[in-house]
Amino acid sequence: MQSEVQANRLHKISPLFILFENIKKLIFPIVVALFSTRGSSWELFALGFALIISLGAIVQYRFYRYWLEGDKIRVQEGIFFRNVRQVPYKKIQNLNLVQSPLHRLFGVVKVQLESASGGKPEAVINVIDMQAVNELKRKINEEEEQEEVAQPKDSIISLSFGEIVRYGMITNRGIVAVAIFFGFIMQFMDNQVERLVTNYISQFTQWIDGLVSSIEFENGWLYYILITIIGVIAAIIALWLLSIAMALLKFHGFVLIKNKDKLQATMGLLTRLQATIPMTRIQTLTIHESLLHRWFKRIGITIETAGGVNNEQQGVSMKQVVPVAPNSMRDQLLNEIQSDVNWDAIDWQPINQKGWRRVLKVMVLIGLVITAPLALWTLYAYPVGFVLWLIYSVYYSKAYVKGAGYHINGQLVAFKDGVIFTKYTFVRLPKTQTIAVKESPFDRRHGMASLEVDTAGAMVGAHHINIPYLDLGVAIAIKDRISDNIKGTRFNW
Amino acid sequence: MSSVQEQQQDQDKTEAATEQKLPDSSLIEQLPDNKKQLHPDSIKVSRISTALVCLIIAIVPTAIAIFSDNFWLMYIGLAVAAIIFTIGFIWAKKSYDYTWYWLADEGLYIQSGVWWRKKTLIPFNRVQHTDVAQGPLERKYKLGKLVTHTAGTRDASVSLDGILLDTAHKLRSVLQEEGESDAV
Repeated sequence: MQSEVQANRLHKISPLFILFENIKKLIFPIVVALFSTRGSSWELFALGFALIISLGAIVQYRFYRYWLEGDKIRVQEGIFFRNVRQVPYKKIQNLNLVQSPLHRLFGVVKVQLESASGGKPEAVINVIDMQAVNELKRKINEEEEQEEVAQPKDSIISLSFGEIVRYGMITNRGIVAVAIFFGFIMQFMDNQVERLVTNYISQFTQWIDGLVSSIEFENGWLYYILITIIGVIAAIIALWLLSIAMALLKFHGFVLIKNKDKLQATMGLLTRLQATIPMTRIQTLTIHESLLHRWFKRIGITIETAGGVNNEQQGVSMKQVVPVAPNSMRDQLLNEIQSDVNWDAIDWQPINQKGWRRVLKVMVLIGLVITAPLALWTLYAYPVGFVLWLIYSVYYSKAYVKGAGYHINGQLVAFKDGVIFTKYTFVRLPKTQTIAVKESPFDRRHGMASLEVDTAGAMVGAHHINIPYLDLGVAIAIKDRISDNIKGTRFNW
Repeated sequence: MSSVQEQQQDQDKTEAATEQKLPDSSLIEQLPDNKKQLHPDSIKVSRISTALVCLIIAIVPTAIAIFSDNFWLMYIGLAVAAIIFTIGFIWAKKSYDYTWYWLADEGLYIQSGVWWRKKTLIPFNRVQHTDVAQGPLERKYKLGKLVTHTAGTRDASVSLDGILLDTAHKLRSVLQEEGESDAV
């Protein structure tokens, strides 16, 4: 069973990093344990915990081994429950490297190998030095082509500081952080904290109040409007600063390079990440063009791969191949990322324009509900708010059916929609799975249907090929076109 | 011998159902000639399992009512059970009427849904693996379930529930053979 290949072991510093990982996993139970044993001998408990997990880390390190065999990597771990795992190089979807400042200090890297299985990475090597990484990379590349690795690498795009700032302002990820923060705070909200928070808020409003009244506006409408405007602007600026800081942390020094048939992205301010994915493994490609993107004349490109890691907490994922780029580079980027597709040939077909009435009906129903709370404020506010919503709804409905569209050719099927957050999704035909024509009771009344195409690695809720408001005949024709094209082509992850 | 007769009977039943006219113009009117329906016994299975659920819904409040001498709870429980059973009883047939499957050159089609209808195509060469499953009630009627797994996500497994176990096995082997011959 033992092969002639020499066993590789982790770097000597590994126990430290394994320990950190274990602490990260255990931090919650530890905190709970500490709090619940408060007053008694909690120091002892803490010491015990520390001892056990440190020993665990060392043991994990001692018994971890991997072999770089001819066509696969074999990983062995565990003492009592020994776990041997073999991942053929061919099946590796993504190769990700993580390097935090601490990693850099010791010159080591954490490696994640992803195959198409769901859930967590197929194999995690925590941690090895750069030399070992290069050897691993060489092995994986060798399997595919016999050439040596030292070849010219084309940089597809790199992000300057300005671009990252734009990315932060466009995506506003800060909102999520703020929401999580408040959710967290709420749990610890007791009278004292509450008083503290309200105190800060009233101090802040007083400060704005002073600012405004110093420019001599007595009370009245103008005064309140001005206060609101200043408040909103201050909130937006604060949010932007937070978002930009988060963007910098994640994407500082972002470079996307093309290495033969692979994409390799490097990014991160403190923790550097490097993700590699074969271009043929891209299942879907989505272009994001929200209202803010359009103001800044920018786009963003994300991809979905069949690699198991679908959420960022589980590990490194390279969804954002191009976090942000000038709209003028769109064609060039698409050609670089998916060079086997003819991107010039795309002409968008409209959906049934009569669908706008159906969008409107849905919008009216939503409006009735979400403007209802206005009635609690003033009786008149409800009809006024509802009428405003109605005007927006008419605009939205018409814009939606006008903007939505699909395209299908011998290579791919594409779908675009969205008024404020416009998205374009492309799926190459070999990557399509099941195809469904769907028909709701409302569709039936209008002789319409929708068409949905399933792909591997799709994230829940993500934009995908789901074309609404098609004439039934058209939907069936699209389905036939796709199924004709994939006949005789085997799905190759 | 008996199984042959049974199959003959199934064929007859299926044909009788095929001739039945369905009301509205939709996907359901576009079915090909080689369409097949679930086995009629699947209606029975569905109704029996609904009845079992309703029995529990009826028994629990009744038991509580007897012990606590508070009988309005029992009436509510019985009413709910009766309503659910009636709906389930009607729905079993409805759902049977609107569920079809057929094999084509490109793959296995499954048409389902009474109000929200859906026609799903599972291309032969996208089938990763297939399961045939059977529950205790289904065993009594020699029925089974064919579950087809693809590499997809939303429709990663598509199941066809309420066909004869034999049919499920046959379909399964067709899916496997076609999938392999497609590989080329």
